[in-house]
Amino acid sequence: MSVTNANPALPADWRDFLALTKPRVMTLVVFTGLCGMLAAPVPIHPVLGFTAILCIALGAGAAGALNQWYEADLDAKMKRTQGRPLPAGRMDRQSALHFGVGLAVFSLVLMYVAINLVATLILAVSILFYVFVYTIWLKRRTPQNIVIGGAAGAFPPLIGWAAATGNVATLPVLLFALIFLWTPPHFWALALFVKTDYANAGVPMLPVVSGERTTRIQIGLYTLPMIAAAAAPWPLGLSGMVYGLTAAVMSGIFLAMAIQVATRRTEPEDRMIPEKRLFKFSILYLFVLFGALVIDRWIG
Amino acid sequence: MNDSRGEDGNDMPASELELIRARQRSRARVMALLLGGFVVLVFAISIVKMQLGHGG
Repeated sequence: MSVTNANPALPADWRDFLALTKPRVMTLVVFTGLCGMLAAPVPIHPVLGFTAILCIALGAGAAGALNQWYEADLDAKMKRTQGRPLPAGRMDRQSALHFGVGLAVFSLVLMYVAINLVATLILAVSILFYVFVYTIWLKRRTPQNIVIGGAAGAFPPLIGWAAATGNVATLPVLLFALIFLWTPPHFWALALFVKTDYANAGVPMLPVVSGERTTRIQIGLYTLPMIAAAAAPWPLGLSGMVYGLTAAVMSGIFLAMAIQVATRRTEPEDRMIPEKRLFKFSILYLFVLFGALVIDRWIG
Repeated sequence: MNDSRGEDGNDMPASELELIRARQRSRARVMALLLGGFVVLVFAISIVKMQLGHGG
């Protein structure tokens, strides 16, 4: 490992520990977890609801910290990530490992003591899946890394629902499927415009391994089942018209953008505007759909 | 050259030692806040669980 602390005697700043938890990624995790909880038919006491969301956030933070602990050498090679605490030399790897493991154990113990076993088990699976299946096993080995690894980010609505109800039902499973199928077009749109960065770091992202053409087609193909998962709650009677119409409109826009990305070719000096637009819209898409689901539940 | 040595007599310059102390103080303050928040949270969870009749 070439990544070392610049001054081993200087303890890492608390802000660097915060950065290890990937706070921006956590926003979507917390939001989808909260929506899963609020969409459940059983209300949860606000204090317990807050605790469950805190545990989801801490669990996601732990997974992020362990991801950065393992990938410090990879992060050092990419512009997007070389300013992180480990590759920048502001923290030693052992501190990151201890912080990640400690945070994971703390989040699981708190979830079990305050909430219930089902939510704790799903949270444990999501942390282990992200660290062992995605980070350690798949990421450096296969361009399918984010397809399978995407499951790790799809667990929060299930955890939120399980925290409120103590079990798992069809709706949170559909929400899991939605995020799972959303991940490939979302990340491959990003991979198309940061391809050089991934190639330099030796990460086998789809555009690096199979080329842009295949990636563009795959974005289009994965969008179809994603839209089906997004639309399913309404015809199945699991949501109302607010969600149904929102899903229809937002999915229509997503599909139009995905088709544009799927059918175009990269020109010389291409600024990759449609790809960047799809990437940004995909984040909005998830926020709006989950928000609509909660509004639907409240007015219904 | 006493001003370039740490108070423990080691090779560390005083300015660097001060930086380490400041970093430790800042971390201790954040840890104290987090522990305080955790105590309040555990207290609130206990009260809610008793209200809901969950016992322990």
